[in-house]
Amino acid sequence: MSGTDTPHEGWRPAFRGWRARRPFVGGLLLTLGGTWILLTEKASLKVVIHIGMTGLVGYLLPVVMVVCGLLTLFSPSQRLFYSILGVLCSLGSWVTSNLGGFFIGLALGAVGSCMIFGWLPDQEPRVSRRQRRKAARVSAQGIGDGAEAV
Amino acid sequence: MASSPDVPSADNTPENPGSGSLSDTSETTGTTGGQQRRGRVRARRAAVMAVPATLGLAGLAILTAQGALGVSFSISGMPFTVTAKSLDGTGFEQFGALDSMADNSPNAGDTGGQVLVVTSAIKNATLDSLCQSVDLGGTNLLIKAGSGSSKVQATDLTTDSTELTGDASFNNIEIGNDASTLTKAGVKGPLGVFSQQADTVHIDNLRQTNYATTAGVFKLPGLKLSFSSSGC
Repeated sequence: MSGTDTPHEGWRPAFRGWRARRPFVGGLLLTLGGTWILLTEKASLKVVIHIGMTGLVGYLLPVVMVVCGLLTLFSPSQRLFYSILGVLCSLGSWVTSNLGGFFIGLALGAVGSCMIFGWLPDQEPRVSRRQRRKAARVSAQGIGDGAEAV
Repeated sequence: MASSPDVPSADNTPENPGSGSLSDTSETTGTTGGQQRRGRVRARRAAVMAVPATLGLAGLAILTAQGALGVSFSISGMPFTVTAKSLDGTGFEQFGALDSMADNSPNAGDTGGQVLVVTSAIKNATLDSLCQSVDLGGTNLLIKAGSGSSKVQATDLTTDSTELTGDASFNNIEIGNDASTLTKAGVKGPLGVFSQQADTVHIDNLRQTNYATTAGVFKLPGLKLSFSSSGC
């Protein structure tokens, strides 16, 4: 028996199985978005403390985005809450953090949050377009044959 | 596909121990090469969040473009320095006033969030080699303009300063007016406050420590904004 995710198979199938059980792409995008916004902030901590709370919020929101993204990956059962918090922080970063990391981080975070929100576990296997078309053609032919026979 | 399409063992995986019958039906409904049931993003479900998020973002962008967001004008409580080689103005007023910082501003210190300032209002002003710097704690934000042939022009310029030095000369000056009766620059101060006004003003080697500046029109030819370790 060669099960698809027994650990003896190596790390690739195991990672594939791990990804299948959580909104992997969405969590990754949200984490990357928060990281990007953090990277665009160049003000040193000294300056931020001098500016006060408004300066601190600029760092707080992207940090919450990163935390939400990571928690989505490692505790996917709470994904709805993390996605809502993530999208609010992404939108809020427009005001607080360099227009959301010059829009790029905001877009990554918002798209990631939407993907987390839309993710559902245990779905039907994906069918490629070619296979679907083939199946449609086969069924159409079948119907056609049936009509001829009648 | 990396993993083998091992159909008979699909319902024995630790992934879905209880859903053997479900995956059985999925196999029998004719999908070839289905391995395991994976999580997936459903487009319609994602749209439930994507649509309001897009609307919210559009709202933010529109508010920002219209200037409705982030223009609430409380003084920051961080003084900035303005210098200029010379200032020429027509219609000059000066009076005392009190500026308020934002609530709970960290710069308030023991001042209660209020700063006593001298408000200078100039109807039309021309400044040569304007330089403005604000100390951000580690570095200075430096703005320079008007050092070339074209000078900095401002109309309805008001500055709230705590310190003003320079070599000044005034024409037709009136000193000791009530601030609420001023006429030369179109700005009126509070009732019962000392003030002075003049038709024209000329100040050389101007140096101001300001808390706020407003202007109807502020033209800054040759603007250069930079961070610098030294101020003006």
